[in-house]
Amino acid sequence: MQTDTDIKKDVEAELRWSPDVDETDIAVKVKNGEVSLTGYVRNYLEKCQAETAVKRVKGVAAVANDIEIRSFAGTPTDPEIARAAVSALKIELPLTWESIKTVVQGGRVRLEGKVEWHYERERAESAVRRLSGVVSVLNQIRIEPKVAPQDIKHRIEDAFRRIAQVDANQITVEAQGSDVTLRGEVRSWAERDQAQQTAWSAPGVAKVINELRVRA
Amino acid sequence: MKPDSEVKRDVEAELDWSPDVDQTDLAVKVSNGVVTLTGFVASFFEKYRAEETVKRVAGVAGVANDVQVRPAYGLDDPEIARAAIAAIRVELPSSPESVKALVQNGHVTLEGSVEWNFQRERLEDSIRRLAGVITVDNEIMIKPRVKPGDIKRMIEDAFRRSAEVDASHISVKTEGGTVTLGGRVRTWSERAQAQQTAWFAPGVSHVKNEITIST
Repeated sequence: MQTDTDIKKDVEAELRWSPDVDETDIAVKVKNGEVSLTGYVRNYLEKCQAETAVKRVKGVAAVANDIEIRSFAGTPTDPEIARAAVSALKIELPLTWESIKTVVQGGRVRLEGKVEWHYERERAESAVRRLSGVVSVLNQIRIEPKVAPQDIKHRIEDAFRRIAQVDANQITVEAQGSDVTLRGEVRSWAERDQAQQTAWSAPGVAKVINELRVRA
Repeated sequence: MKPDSEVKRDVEAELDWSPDVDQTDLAVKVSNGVVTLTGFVASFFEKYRAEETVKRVAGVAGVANDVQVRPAYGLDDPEIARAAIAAIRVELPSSPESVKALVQNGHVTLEGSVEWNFQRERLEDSIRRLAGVITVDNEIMIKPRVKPGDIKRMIEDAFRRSAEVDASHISVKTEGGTVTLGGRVRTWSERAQAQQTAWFAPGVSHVKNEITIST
């Protein structure tokens, strides 16, 4: 197993190496495999990319991302960001954008409303994440499935068995109504994310609680 | 090895299960683990998502995506062109003129050059999502601003750091700015991650991904 010093060295190397992150003003601390990021980047997308880069590294069990956005002069105003957000949502989700509301305050974007599927909720967030002037995105879009949950535990377990990336034997699925909880151990954040995506695909699911631990 | 009939059954189940793909008009054939997709979808993005969905399934050694796009609704050419220009401005704020999008009847061609492959991929991804797009031809070239250094060692170090990629099963060969990846991995996701990692090395202008999937 790697020490915190090893992990810190690898995380810093990964941030330096990743061309989509400017790591100049980012500081890394590691304690028991939990990485804490502080410092500054130019925009919110880069903040998200820094977190993605850290999660690629072996040994990282969790990430606390407290990087701040350093805005420059010429940053769009809140109404400009809101307008750009609506345009982006229209393009990303041509059939659902009208049921999503965008509120912008000081560059902080809050998404509200409801959609049928989790992937729509995710696309809405990624559509606004990269807009100029955005400091943070709080995604409060609710999932309101149009079908009732039916046998979701078995369906998710079947899906885990079908796909290559997830080791079905290491994951337990608990379903209570339209809420799903995943527990167990996975080998990487990529596997953890895929397990979560799969759980969200079950028809009727309104919430997924992902308690999967990434093995150190 | 998983029998073709089982792979077909699982691929059809995964397509049926995926909420972002309408599999109603899709047909699946499997031969020696290679999946051929035919039929129709309503958007190019759905065609792309169908392929990604198939690649998730254990036992899939390759995919031939012959699905045709029949858009049910979508943006017209000028709207696609405007959205493309906006996407280029977002991705390349200091040099938007280095990439151009040509749009004709929903067929989009991207031309020009960028410094990094991740920029090229993100531009393709932005255009791919637009309703009304039938095909995307990405002819953007990679023109790195730095000369390749010891890229073989850098890429191998990145693989060693990686949680998802098993460094011991992948080989890295380099010649100038060209990287060739070989070896075998367990999943398409790992293969894609290895490729992305190779593209991160400064000075890389071409990556040949010859990694195969063990089924």
